[in-house]
Amino acid sequence: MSHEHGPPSVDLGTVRWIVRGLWALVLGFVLIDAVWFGPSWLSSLGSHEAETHQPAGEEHSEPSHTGAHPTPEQPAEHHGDPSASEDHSGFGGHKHGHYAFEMVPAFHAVYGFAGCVGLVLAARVLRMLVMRDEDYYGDDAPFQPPSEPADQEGHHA
Amino acid sequence: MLETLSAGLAGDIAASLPPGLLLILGALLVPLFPGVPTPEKGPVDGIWPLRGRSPIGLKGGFMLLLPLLGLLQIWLLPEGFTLDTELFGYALQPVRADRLARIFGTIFHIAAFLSVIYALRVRDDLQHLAGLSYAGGAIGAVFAGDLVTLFVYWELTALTSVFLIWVRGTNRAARVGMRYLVIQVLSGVLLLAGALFRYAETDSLAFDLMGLDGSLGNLLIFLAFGIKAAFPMLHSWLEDAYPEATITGTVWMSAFTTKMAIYALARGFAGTEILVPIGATMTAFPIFYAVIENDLRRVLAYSLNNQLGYMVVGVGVGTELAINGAAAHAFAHILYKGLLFMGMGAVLLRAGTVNGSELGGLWRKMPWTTGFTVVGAMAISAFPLFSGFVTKSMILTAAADQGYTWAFLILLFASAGVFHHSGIKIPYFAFFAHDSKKAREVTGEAPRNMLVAMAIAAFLCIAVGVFPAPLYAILPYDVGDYSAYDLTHVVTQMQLLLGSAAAFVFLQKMGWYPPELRSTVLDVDVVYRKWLPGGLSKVVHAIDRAAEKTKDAVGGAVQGAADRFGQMFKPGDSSFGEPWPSGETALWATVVLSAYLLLSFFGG
Repeated sequence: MSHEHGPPSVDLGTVRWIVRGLWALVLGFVLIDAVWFGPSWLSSLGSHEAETHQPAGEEHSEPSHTGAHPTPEQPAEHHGDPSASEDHSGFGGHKHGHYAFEMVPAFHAVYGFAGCVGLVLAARVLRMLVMRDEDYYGDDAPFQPPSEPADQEGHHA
Repeated sequence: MLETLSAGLAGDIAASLPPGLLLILGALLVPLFPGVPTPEKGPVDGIWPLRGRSPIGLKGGFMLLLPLLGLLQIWLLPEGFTLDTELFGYALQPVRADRLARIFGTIFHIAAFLSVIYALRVRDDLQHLAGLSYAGGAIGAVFAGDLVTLFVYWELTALTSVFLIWVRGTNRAARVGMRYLVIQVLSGVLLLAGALFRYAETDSLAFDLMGLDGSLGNLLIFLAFGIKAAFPMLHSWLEDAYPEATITGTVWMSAFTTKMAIYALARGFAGTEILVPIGATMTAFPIFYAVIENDLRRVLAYSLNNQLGYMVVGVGVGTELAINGAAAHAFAHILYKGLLFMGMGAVLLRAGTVNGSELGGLWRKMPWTTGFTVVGAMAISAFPLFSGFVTKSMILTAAADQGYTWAFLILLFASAGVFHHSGIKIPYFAFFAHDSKKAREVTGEAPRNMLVAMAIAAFLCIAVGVFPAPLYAILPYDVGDYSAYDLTHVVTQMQLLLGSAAAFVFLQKMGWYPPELRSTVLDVDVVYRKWLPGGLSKVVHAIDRAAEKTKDAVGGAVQGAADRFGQMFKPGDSSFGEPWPSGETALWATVVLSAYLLLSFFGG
């Protein structure tokens, strides 16, 4: 149906600016993530490595901090607990989250981007499998009298 | 003193009528109000006049009053109020007003109010009657304290809402409506059967926490709820029916049936673990369909299914935060989903289609509709300062709290996907993209009443996002110090959404984004719409043919025998047919009578 379509409804110059703005925003939020939350993430990485070299047995609660998820008994840092953001060095804050992967700077941006590219590419494959003609089901066809459907008419003829 | 007395009196009045009944009884009075004469030709889905001023009139005023009075009523009911009664020896509880019922009742009344505004120009009383009594049925259902009352309202929502499809009067509407009705009634039948099994097992019809404990009754009820909540594989009635209702009808339908089912799950199956994978599947798989579907109202139906998934996960997780999240998300969802359907309804009214393949460039002609739809799109995508942001995160946090890592990751993926298809695709293909022929033919904005309804819904989407406290205050459980607004959440959510937007730009630039094409996309309903009937008709044909053959064979044999028999007795030249001499006849008669005589001697 592309022949029905005219020129872009928003002029290309504006579109270019919108796209530039989008990239700037992406960059901005990734930078905030890296600069503000990065230091505490790095230090937690460092401390994690130092701790794993320590003899085991003394720190029972540590694995859940770095592992896949916290045990229900150990309250995770969330709900905007303000005390959590102050316990590191002078600059930056501490990211709240349940999982180690959430702490990686730009994780959400990459996940969102990759997820959506994957989504659309998978949907294209899906379309090859499930796309049919617009009138596939014939829902618009007029009703036939129930006593003599078309196929039976043909059969008896 | 006087104040408490009047409050008590108001409470008594509120308690005298079960919630929902006001809308149902009021709906029956709507046709009595004089209507505006409507021309035979011209109205689209009963909407008239298509532009210019339209008097609200007594009828409109009355309809607007009904949901407002209903809302007042449920807030006058004291918390914990119940109305108990007995019918044929069964203890029933037609009304139970607690916090879970009240939050759903509240949003149902608001949705009914907005739908009435949106439908003020509809000159077809049947639509008003159907819409109002449908809303009343859903409200009654969330205040029902027993399974039989629930069943009655459950079926009422099916029987009323189907008219919002049928009134279109097309062959397609007739077919879609019938399919919809069959499935909805099936859900009701399962509910009733489950209730009876439950009564046999527990001697009670009370509608409380049931869970899946292996009892057949509970399983049937779970399935009944699952059909209306559009569980995977039970979902296709939703995508089939909602886009085929009238312009205003879809707005009504988007609010009630499915959220009533979410309420019922939250009441009966909170913390049922199987709901987590079910809900996670619901969030993920419809978005693949939403990307390739052409009918933008059907895209919204798929995204509705996706949003229900979040609520189902919340119910499955079952903690106080999760149930709060499910209820809050239902509240926010009804507003923004209604708003999006209103926007697409306005497009359908003006452009005559909501096919993405034929639209584009409407923003110049319909700037207000564009703006309101974009607000709805941002709310469903959960942008900070919009309603989805403050409600969806409760469910994700609750899921992560309980260690559902994979569910958390799927919900996060689905959140990015929602922005992709609802947040970008809907506004982009309808209002922007390329100037379409349809857009050039469109001559004006949506009618004013539709714009007012969209404006109120958009305002509420932003209000809930900016000031979530009033919503949090009416949730089923104490929200405590939960806050959606902290730097982490804002930064991560913005990253997720911007990453999703960047993917859209990237895919468009590479030419990888699937173009909108006029098509039918097969969903699981192909099984009962095409394969089963096709298979059945083959079987019927085979039986028919076999019967025909048997008839031929047997008929031939019988005919042959009859022919031979006839030949024997044929008068004239056949063995029995020729005239016998009278002497011979007398001899044979003597032989037979003698034999009889002898036999009677020996026998006696």
